[in-house]
Amino acid sequence: MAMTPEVYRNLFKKRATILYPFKERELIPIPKGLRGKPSFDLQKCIGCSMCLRVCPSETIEMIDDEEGKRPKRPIFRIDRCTFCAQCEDVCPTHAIVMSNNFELAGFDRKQMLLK
Amino acid sequence: MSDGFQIIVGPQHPALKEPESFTFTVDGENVVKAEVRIGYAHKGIEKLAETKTYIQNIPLVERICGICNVAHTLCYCQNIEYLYGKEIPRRAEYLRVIIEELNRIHSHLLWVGVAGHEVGFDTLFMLVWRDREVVMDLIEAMTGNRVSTALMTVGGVRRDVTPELEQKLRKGMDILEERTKYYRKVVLDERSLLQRLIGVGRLTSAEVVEHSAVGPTARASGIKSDVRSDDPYAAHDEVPFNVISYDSCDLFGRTVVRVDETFEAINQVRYCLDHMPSGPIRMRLPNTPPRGEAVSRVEAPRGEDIHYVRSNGTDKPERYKIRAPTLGNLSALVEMLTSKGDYQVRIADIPVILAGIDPCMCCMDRSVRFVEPAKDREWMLDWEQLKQYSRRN
Amino acid sequence: MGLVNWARRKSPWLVHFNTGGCNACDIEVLAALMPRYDLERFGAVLKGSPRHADVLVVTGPVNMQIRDRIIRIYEQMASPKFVVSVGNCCNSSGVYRGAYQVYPGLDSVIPVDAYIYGCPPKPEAIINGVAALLGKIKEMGQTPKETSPQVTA
Repeated sequence: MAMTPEVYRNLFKKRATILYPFKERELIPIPKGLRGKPSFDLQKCIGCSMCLRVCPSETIEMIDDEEGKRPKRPIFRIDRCTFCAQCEDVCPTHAIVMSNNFELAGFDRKQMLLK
Repeated sequence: MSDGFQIIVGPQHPALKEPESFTFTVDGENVVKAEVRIGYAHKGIEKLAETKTYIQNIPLVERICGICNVAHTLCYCQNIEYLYGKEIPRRAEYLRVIIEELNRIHSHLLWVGVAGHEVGFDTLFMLVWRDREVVMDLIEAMTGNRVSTALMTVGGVRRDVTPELEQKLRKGMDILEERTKYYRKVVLDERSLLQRLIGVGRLTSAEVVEHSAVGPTARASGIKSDVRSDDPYAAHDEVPFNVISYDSCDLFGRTVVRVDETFEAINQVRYCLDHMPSGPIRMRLPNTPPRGEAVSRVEAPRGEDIHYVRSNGTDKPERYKIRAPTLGNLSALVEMLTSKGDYQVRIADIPVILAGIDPCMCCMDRSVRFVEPAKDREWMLDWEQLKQYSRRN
Repeated sequence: MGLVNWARRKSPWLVHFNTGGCNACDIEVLAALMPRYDLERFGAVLKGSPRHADVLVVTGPVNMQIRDRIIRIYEQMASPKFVVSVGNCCNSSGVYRGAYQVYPGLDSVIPVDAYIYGCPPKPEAIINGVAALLGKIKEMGQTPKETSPQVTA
């Protein structure tokens, strides 16, 4: 019986469970470069629309700019996003950066509109 | 009208993880006939791919299947690179092999756990999935997400391997090799598992050739066919490995083949890290490929995966066709579920036989059913009729 | 009533249904039940039948073939029942937007209580979403949405 010694050994080992979310949050490994929710800096945007051209799921929509400094500016509907980070790769001024925030859960889809 | 009692295992069932529907005709405890109705997971990916540009299609192709997503993106990117007729940098090809083999390790460990669950061996399920977290952490450190890797693009890869990541990869491969040796011992020695796997789901080598099965399902019947050695792609012409096959023609053979392929994958990752060439990782290519057609195939964890593309000189593909490996295994599955002669299939064996081909129904849902509402009739074409229909002119 | 509500939110029984997605969210839901993350700490058990469960966990985009089936499963569950949609394909048709067979979100077919965003969401994000749903049940307080039993056809 090959499994029995392993089962006995596991009785005396440290538990494998991480007690997320109420304790032990620091034990969750968050590597650098995790593709979480995109963050957008309006001041760096130049309105080139390259992000619109590479987005696969119509997350990005270009609307008129209130400040008048650029021809158009994007808004992001995160409830359609695939987190592929192609917009981050192609933006020439690095206005779009994927953050580390993966704790996205909500009760209303309209709140997931990033301006 | 078939005689015998019929059992329908429908789209929602505790034994199935995906929606598909099977109708089994039983005679007592033996399954006499099986019919498959697929099409619940059909989303229209091939039609949707014609309305998006080549770069926008990369995440779409990745989501044909979440478990073997690296194989589908690799096949797509290779296809488009064949259209351009260019060779990508060598370092990018080695990085592609690393992520492909990491994906194979995670998929085979997933399968060993699910097979243990379907025979009722939940201890193996829990232990294997606990050790699978090692490879999930490595994939996340390398690409940014545990499952949808999004590492490949047309012309190379998007991220590089830093020296710290290389240390992590080597340490992870050592841990995994030790644990996989232990699971190989369990699979070969554990009596409660062997009694449920030996002799179940039999598929002889003649039946494999007749029903064109692919992947570990075919290799467990003694047929040594593997795209990485028959038709090498990426860096597989330089990275050495052995084609694993086994002679037992049943579920036990498939389990041993998958566990041994995990060892081969670990060795390939180590070889790639030792012999990594230097250079760029990405080549810039223009937006519109030249006119033409291309076919590319890769060895996904489930078998051979073939894609076809036709381009008409614009930045959107004109036609994109996908043949996923589970579609090739489907008629072999029906053969395995039919009792004949001295090979009897019991009702209680159905979940593990279904899990034995490692089904990925989402990959393969491209069925067509003809409906003519005006004349109120609907029909399907079978294999012979389809051959006749496609050859007439 | 307080005791019944406390018992309800300390043991939510789940039934999981995949409407034909790419399976990435499904393996993350299964990974959330595995030893490292262990959703069973919250009292959740994965059941096979919709009649036994309180919470329906749906993954995958809803396409036209599966629409009638998921409505039938939703109607078979007994009140009070909750629906969680996991993954962006279920929330809003995700990357398949524009395909001819896909509806624009699960909430155009059945009412949804919690959305978990991600493609696929990490198992930690799924646990975060289930904990948020349990918090919402606690705040709903003494009157959960209980209706008289409906006869299903």
